Amino acid sequence: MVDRPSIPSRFAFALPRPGRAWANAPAWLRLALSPSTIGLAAIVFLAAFAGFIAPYGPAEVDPINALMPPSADYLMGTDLFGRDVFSRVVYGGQLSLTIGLTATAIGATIGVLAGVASGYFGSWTDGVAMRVMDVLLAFPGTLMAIVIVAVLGPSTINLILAVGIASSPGYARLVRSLTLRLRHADYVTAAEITGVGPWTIIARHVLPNLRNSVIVYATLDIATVILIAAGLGFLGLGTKPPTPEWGLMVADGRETLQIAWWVTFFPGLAILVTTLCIYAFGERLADILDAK
Amino acid sequence: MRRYVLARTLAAIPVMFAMVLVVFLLLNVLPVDPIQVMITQSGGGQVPSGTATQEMIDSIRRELGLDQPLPLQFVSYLGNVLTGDLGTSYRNNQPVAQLLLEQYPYTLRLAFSGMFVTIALGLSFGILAGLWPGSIVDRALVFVATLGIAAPTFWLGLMFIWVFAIVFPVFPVLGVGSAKAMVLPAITLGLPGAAIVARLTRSNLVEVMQRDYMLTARAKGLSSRLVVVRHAMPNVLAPVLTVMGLQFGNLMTGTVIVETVFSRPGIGRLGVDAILNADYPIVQGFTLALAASYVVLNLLVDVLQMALDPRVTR
Repeated sequence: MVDRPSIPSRFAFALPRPGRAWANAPAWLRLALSPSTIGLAAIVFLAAFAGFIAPYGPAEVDPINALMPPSADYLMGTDLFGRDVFSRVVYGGQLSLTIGLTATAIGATIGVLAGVASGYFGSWTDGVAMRVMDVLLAFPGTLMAIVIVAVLGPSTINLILAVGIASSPGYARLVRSLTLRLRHADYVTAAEITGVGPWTIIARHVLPNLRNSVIVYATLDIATVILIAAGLGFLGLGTKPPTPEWGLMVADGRETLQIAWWVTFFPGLAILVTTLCIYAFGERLADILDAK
Repeated sequence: MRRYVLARTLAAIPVMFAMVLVVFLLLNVLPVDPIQVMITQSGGGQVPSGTATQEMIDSIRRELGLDQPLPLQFVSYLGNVLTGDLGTSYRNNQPVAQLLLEQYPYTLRLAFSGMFVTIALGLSFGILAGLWPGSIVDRALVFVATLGIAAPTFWLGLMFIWVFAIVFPVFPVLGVGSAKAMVLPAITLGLPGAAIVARLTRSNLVEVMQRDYMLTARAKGLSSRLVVVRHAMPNVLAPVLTVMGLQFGNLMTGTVIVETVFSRPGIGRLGVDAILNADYPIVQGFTLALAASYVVLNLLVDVLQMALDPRVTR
């Protein structure tokens, strides 16, 4: 068993390699039919059609049926207020996926721009951008997100901004090192000599070559972002109750853990399954795109 | 060697300086007026902010030096930080430095216990799996590593409490005093790092075992144990140490969550409570304390790494 190189080590963990029967199928077909893709599709489907799938409303209080264990009526039981945990988990998926995608988009945009600029232009741009990124990198992601939320005040929008900004240094570092390598490629020099402007070169020759790596990194980063956002939600620094958010739901269940494990268990399981699917999907994608 | 240590230490100074600047700006870009917060907070939330007269606000502003231009304020803030004065809490007027110092030992103890778990679990799993790739240990590692990386820490902690303190009451649910009460928090905190360390140790060891000098060591008749301990481990551990250093930073922030999960005292709890209560001097101090710990630990790891692998200096 040989380890696949080229994946950032914090994401790289061993997963079963594709079965032999699939070895001859086209790569995209293998990706599309892999358990991780199917799992992700199911999660997105559940979240997107929460209104049709969830048997109850996300904030539908029913004190008579409080803390009911999982049953046919309540697939994942009910919480302290008699709200259906399954319905809340399904609705919570909307929020977690939205946060994951938007925060990743923010982080990727900032990070890629800073990374390309500092890698391509070098000199003082590079110096300034990298010093700023060094300082940002010196803060672990969660801590930085906490600090940004502390400045802006706890709310969903601020949570997205905080987690997005906190994830940008990773992109900057990746993109800068790739850009430095491309900077002196023959085709870039050729374009420069023929008088093409720097931003055109970046758009035509540099960015397309970064695309695969950034896509793979961003895919894996969605899982990290969802984890950090859920952690902040758990601490009470994100969405306000009664919004169904997975991290917040785990925190809600904490008080009734002794008598009702399901209130805590299922929202956390939803996070775990989602991040697992994303990581597995991202690793497959890395194999196919052969990203650095 | 001395030059390298010195250079590395000096390089940490701008980073720390920038952190103080960021933390200082934190209070000045706030969407709320700190003095309003202060007046409401010090009245225990009883005094409506409207009752504070303009003169009162102005006098407090003068007293705190908040009427000075921003750069001047920063210089005096920097001076205060360097002399260990982090301001006073809005809520109970206690010095922030004192509050942090009271809570810091709890956090540090938790962080070191977590680091112990990361190193002990990570190295032992990693070495066993690396020596026998494909074995049961190797396959168990996949499971533990996956759980450690993909599962949210706060949820893992609560599940540990549920299984090991409620269903099977082996460990106390909460509590700070006994060593037994430290077991679950330490495992919760250390597991994600352990997963990463184990993965890295495993792949490094598998790679190193295939090198030519390992064959040479075998050929000259060294026992398997000596081959692994003398020839493989130093090469395996150098990169693992770097990752451990990075993990320590994550561990320091992990304590924030673990302290909340297990209702333990510590600067993480202090900080999160301060954020929720808009007690900004504590938020500033909390951020500085965590960031400083992170920088200092990274520095120590770098120096340690150089001691183990002198090539780093060149």
